[in-house]
Amino acid sequence: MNDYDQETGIDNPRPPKLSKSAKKANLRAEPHYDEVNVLVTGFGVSHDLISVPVSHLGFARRKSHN
Amino acid sequence: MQAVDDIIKFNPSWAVAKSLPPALTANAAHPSRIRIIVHPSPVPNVYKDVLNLTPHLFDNHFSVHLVLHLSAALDSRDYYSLERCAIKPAYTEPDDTGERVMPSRQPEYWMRQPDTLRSSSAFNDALTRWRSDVPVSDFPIFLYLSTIALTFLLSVSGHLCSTNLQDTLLTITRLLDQTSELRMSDRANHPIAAYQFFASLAHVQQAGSHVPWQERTMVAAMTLPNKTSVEDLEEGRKVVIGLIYALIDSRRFRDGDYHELPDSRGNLDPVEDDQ
Repeated sequence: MNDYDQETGIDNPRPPKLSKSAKKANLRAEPHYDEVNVLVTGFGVSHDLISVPVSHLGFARRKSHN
Repeated sequence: MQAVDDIIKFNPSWAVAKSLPPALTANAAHPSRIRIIVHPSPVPNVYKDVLNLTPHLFDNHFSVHLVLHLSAALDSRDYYSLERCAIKPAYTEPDDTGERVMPSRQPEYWMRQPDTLRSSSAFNDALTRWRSDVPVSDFPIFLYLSTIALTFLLSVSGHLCSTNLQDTLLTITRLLDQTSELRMSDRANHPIAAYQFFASLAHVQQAGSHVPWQERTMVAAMTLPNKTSVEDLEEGRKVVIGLIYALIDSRRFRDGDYHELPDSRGNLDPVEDDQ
């Protein structure tokens, strides 16, 4: 049975009633997170962190030619 | 003596964050496509700056499902830890400007928060997924999973009445936990990292009090070992990616067809509501 919406002038068919199992299946079929956004932060240098020789990082600091 | 020019200060948490890829593709094991946004600058080791930054992390033009705070340990540990809870700041350690935590400068809504805030993630499940996914050590994941599964099955079937058996299973799980390079922790190692974790959890709790926990932003904090070789940073990068997958998959499965795993005491982890 359709409902007539007087404002829009169109028939609004009621959604079919779903059984509990059908609802559950629908929920499982539509995951909440198809794409998720993750924000990552990291801390800067602190006075209590160790000093690291540049050579230990696997790259050499470019020497100044001045 | 080392020349000053050859020494630089270096925080591995920021180095690892910067090295993360912009996205993780979905696959059979990880059904969600994950976009990784790294905050454009390192967080200063200053309480006031951390507090000012916190609301901006959550107020973006896009939805943020997970905020992951990385920090480096102050000690010489070899393991990575996922922080489970944050304690209301009462830290006496000064920050880089020499300032300490002043209760009078904290937001008013912090006063209404409990002393300990717990992340809303299902951490037992996330930890298991993390360990299964990240081969950083020779951790006996099969033995670990078998012990948890056995504890769970015995508790569900009502056969876990023997105290000796329960203690034995508990001991095995604890020993395995202590040998793992991926652990769960109840207190962040760095005081400013702990402060940041509490600030984010309190913000989510305050701003999202009107929405169900499923729709709130997850907050997690991880402490990395303070190691800075190229190999260590590459390992840290893999570990963080594994943790992101584990947290997202864990939340997703809890929302849907998800079966909670028992903790080390054989108890089921209750669904937490960012208490």
